[in-house]
This record gives sequence, structure tokens and C-alpha cells, in this order.
Amino acid sequence: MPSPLDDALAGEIANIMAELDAMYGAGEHCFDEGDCYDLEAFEGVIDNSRDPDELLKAWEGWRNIGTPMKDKYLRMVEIGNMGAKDLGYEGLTDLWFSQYDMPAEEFLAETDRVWDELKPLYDALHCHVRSELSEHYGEEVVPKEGVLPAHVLGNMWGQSWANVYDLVYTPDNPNASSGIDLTKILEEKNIDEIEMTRIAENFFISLGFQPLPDTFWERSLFVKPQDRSVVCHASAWNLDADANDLRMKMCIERNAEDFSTIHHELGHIFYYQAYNSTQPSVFQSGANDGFHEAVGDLLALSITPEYYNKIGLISEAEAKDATSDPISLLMQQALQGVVSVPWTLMLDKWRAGVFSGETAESELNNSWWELREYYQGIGVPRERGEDAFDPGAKYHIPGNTPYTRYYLAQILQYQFHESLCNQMGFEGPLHECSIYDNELAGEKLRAMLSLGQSQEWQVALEALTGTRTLSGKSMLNYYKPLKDWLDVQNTDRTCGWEG
Amino acid sequence: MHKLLLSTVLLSIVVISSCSSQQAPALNESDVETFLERVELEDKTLGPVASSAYWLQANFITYDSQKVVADYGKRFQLLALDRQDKHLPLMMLKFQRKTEENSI
Repeated sequence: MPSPLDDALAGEIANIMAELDAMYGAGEHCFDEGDCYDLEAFEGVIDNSRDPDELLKAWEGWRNIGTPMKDKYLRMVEIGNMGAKDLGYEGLTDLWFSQYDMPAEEFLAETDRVWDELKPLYDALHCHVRSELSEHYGEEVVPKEGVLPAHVLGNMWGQSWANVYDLVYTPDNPNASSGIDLTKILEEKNIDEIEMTRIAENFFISLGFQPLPDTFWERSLFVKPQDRSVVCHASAWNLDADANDLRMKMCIERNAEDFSTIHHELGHIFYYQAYNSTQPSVFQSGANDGFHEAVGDLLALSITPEYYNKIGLISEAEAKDATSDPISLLMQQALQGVVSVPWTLMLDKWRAGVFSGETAESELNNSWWELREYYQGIGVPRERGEDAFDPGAKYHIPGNTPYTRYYLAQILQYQFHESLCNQMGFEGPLHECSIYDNELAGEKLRAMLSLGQSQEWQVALEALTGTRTLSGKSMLNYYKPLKDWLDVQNTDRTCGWEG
Repeated sequence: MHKLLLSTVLLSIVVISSCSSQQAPALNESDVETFLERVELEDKTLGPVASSAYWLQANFITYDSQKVVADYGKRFQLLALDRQDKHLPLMMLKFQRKTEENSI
């Protein structure tokens, strides 16, 4: 968020940004004296409860923290636009989308083109999930047609539906394993937060990356402190390139979701390490910000039952059992990977409207929900108040983190994965391929990462995949068995939510 | 995070030919190198301290940590603007990257 050259405005915007960040980090809502919840507590309800009233209370409760942010956010955008103009851009939108080695309009058209490729897969998943949730909660809570109510999706923002997996998929053979319960494994094997991080580090080491420096282990935050407020939102830090001072900040919970998030954060850390040593300061960044987000997620795609077996978390028989139901595995992944695609696309579309002034101040919240309905088919469970500012309840809005990067990462990780698997000579369904311990895959990945930002992102993409074009086809190929299965399930259902 | 902001004002590194525009200032490869050396030095000296300020704020949410990070935020915003100001004349020149060592 740039500031104008004016000293007073520079100070004002810096203050607002710090305030908004702190408001989110320290955010809590009290229903009554002594009955207070922070994000972690609210998420505990949203992620696990199946009581629609309790879910609604938690969903609405967390959104109270957004309301006081609204005026500050608008003022920040106002000053930010002045700053963008001082930098020679038309405004913040122009500035934010200026980093993609092509005109902003062309780039945005590319993101829409890829979404058009993927929408049939998302629509099929939406249709199935809506039907199953409606069976569970009843039509009063989840109607069989129209949008999905946001509070019953097992995630505070509905950006992942992985927590409702058991409600939307029942294995054909009820005696078969319903997949790998990593949370249970971590508990049973007494694997703590540090050890979870060590396992993720070892994945990178297996690909030929250098181990993380001692300072990473000494200075990172792995567990939520009890004595102070911290921003728990997971992040990776490149504090000092010359000193290789790299850190992760995360309030790790011992569960499968956080195990995956650790891989994501270490993807950033190893990217830093790769270009810190090869590039001058100005090129110490990702080919574009989507690349930076995609690296760790690429590894997460390789966390297969066979991988778990190789690192000793499950037996060979358990791995074989887990692989026997590919729909189960793919459904669990799609509820996160596919579900997040329209969410990651819509968020910056909302922000673009606010930055440009196309969205009126009085329409900030309505516009947010219109976009969520249009792209995700998700709606409010109950009418929102006039002063509501629900975007503020998502870290990346008060934190000013661009979100298109996550959209790009969702697409890129599958392109990287398919390409590396092909180059490794892997034959079989893509979801069974793991690049763990593969020398060739490691070489290709390290070569791309060490480029940093010294080349256009298309060159970096070509270096790894042989193509310069963003494409949703790899994701479609990955989930083809699931899409075929969903199409059969949805045969007699009315899908879609428009109108 | 600050590094990304600062890097947005820089797109290329080595001048190989001048723009024909008569409006272009009389800058040459040496000007660009001097500018980049300055940026490199600033990133190496100021960057880690600013990063520590942000780290502190994220790990200790207090009135004072907010104050410190807001001050660093402001300083870096102004530094980035100053760089942009210096960079604009350089943008009038035609650039091409020289990164053979990174060729694939």
C-alpha cells in the first residue's frame, strides 16, 4: 500500500496499516462478560461443530471484529490511491497488477480464461456438497437449490470445505479405510510442532535443498505463546538475506491442515534460500507472487499414502488400503484445492472495485457478498447489518496482502506437479505421483527457484514445465476421476445457483 | 515484505542502448549501476532492521510495537518514493537484462 510523498500522509497511512494489522491480530468478540472468543476459539467451533445455531453464532461473532475497521480501511485506500498516482500509476488496482510482466487487463483476462476452464469442476463439486449438506442439516438450513450458507462449510471463510468431508463422502465399502487420519497419527506417534516442521524440511532436503540454518529453529515461532498477543496467521520471513536469517511464524496445531500449511510456509523459506544466494537484492523475490505461494503447495500434492509409508508414518498395508479408494483421496483434496479457486479469484475482484471507487462506500459489504455468490455460490446465512464489514474478518484485507497470488498458486502447483511427474517418467494417476526424494524433480525445481525475479514469470514457468502459458488443464487432469464420479452422483440433481 | 515494495520500482538492470527520444536525460550505464549499488546497499543495511521491526510487531502486539513499525513503515514508504523519483529518468532508457549466468 503506497503512500503519497507528503510526510503527514505517509505517517497517517503507516499508522493505519499498523492499527488494522493489530486489530485483526488482537481481535476478539465478547458475547457477555467473560464469554470472549478470539479467532482460534471461533474457528474451534466453525471447524468442528455440527450444530447450525452454534455455527451461526460463531460465524457472526467473528465478523464483529470487521465493523470498526471499515472507516480506517477506506481512509487507507484513499491515501493509497494518492500514493499510487504519485508513483505514476492510475491507481491502486493498476499498481497491484503491474507486476505480472504483461498489461494489467491482459493479465486479468488470463485469470478469467483459466477460471472458465475450471468452473465445470467447481460446479460439479458445489452441486454434490450442497445436496449432501442438505441431507444432513435439512432444507431449512441448506436448501437443495441456490447458494450454500457460509456457516456450515467447516471453515470460517468457506475457503476450504475439508472439515465437512465426512458429511459429503461415504466410501462404497463402509469397512474400507476412509483415508489417512493424520491428526490421529500425529497424536499417537507424539509428533510435536517442531517435529512436524522437521518432516516438512526433510521433504525439501530429499530434493537436494540445503537444510535450514540453526537460526531458523532458534528464532521462529512455532507455538502460540500464552503470555502475549501475536499475529497467529502463518507467515514466512526473509529477514536478512546475507545472514540467511529465515523464520516461520505460525501457531501450529497438531493436525493435518497445519501439517500441510507448514509445507506451504517452508516453500517460501526454501524459495528465499534459493535466490538469496544467487540473486542481487532487487531480484530476491518470486517469478511472480503466485510462484512464491505455489512451491510449498506443490510438495503438499506429493504427500501421498506412499510418501507417508516411506517416512514411516503408516505401514505399507495402510498405504495400500488408503490408495484403494481414489475418490476418497481426491475428494479430501478437492474440498480444499478446488474449493479455494473461486474464493482466491473473487477476493481481489472485490478489492479492485473498492480501490477504483466503482464500489460505493455504502455497498462495501453487499458487493463482497454479491461476488461471493457469483463466483463461489456461497451466501450469508442471515441478513447482515448495515454497519457490517465482513471483508475485515479475513486477514488479507486489513493486512493488505494481495490475494491473486493464491489463485495463481492454485493453478501453478498442478502445472508444476503434472510436468515434474511426466518428466520423472511417472505412469499412473497424477494423485498417486510424489516427487519426494526424486533427484530430477529437485534439480528442475531448484533451477527455477534460483532465478528469483530475474526473468519474466513466463520464462520461469517454461523452465520447469516447457510452457509459457497458465492453464487449468493440469488441475482438470488431476481431478478427472473425481469429476467423472461427481457427474454420476449429480445425474438427477439440479446444479448451479444462478437465478 | 518491504523488499517487494522497494523492488517494484526496479525492473531491469543493465543498459545496452539509449532511447532516441530527445527528452531523455543524459544518463548512461554507469548511472544505472550507481543507482543499483545504492539500492543494494540500502536493502542490505536498512532492510534487516525494518524486517525486525515488523517481526517484533507481529510477535508482540503492543502500543509500542505498533508505534515502532508504523515509523519504519513510513520511512520505507518515503524511501521507496525517493527511489522511484530517481528511477523515472532511468526508465526513459531502454533496458535489457544481462543474466547469462541464469540462462536455462
